[in-house]
Amino acid sequence: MKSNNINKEADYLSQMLRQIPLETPSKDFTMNIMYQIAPDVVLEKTPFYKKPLFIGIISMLLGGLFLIFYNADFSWTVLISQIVTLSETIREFFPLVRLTNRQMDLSPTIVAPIVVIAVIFLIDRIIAAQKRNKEQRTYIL
Amino acid sequence: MKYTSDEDCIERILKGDSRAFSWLIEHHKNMVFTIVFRIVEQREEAEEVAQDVFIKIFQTIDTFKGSSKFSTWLYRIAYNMAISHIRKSKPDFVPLHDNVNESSDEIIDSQNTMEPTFDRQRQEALSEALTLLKQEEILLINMHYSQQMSVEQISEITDLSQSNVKVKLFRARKKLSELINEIIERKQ
Repeated sequence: MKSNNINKEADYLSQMLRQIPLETPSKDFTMNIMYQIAPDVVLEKTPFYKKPLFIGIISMLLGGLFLIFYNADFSWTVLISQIVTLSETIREFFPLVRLTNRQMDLSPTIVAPIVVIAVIFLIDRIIAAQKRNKEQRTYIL
Repeated sequence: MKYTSDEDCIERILKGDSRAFSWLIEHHKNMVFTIVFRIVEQREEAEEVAQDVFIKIFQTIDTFKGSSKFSTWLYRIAYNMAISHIRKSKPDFVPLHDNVNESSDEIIDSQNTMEPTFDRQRQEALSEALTLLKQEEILLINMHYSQQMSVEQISEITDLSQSNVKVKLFRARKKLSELINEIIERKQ
């Protein structure tokens, strides 16, 4: 009779112990961790061909080529001379003092591709940043 | 996306699915936090250490070989990181596995002599008694009873021998039982 009582008590205590709750961390716990590992996720876990920088460079090159070949007056001689001019201009761009004077002399066929490529690059960066923000928001369950 | 098990999740994390890791955190965060909190005893510090545990897990998940259960591996890392953390602030801290000179014979010799009492009264007494137990004793109770971990699994996590886990569990349970009876008697 006594041992029956003891077993019953032991079972009862075990049952009570199972109900002891675990400690819970703050609500932001998961989100904080995901934010901390986010750079690793973006830089290491994403294949290189999906990285925003890679896409940006490819877009720039394609955009530049499209603009050059779409020009109705296209000829290799003109293109080579433009490249030479462009490279000289870029070289002269670095001393910032000459920048203001020289940029007025640039022909529109050189300025236009540069501006378009810059715009494409900017748009690409904005899209990439938005995508990254959206991805971080979805970490929260 | 639904994940069927920890192993399924790990496979997806290794393929670059970061949402799977978020699922893994949600699934284990309470137990990891409980382990760390019972050792560190400061909520803010415990939260930081528990976060570091998951970051470490993310960085080293490819080294998990699957020789034990993932949860055992995770909880063991949590336990060890919490011990390392507390040793920095309290060099005289004695973890569970350094305090093991007990005999398992007393489990057999001892008898539980609790008298039956009303449920609600006992529940209240239990809550009060828990505040009087050591955090490490509550941790063992949490592991064994709340999480239904086997003695073997607790032994792997804490580095205690299986017989020592049994002794410590028994003592914690006995102490709790005595405290509950004392509290009930005092209130009557």
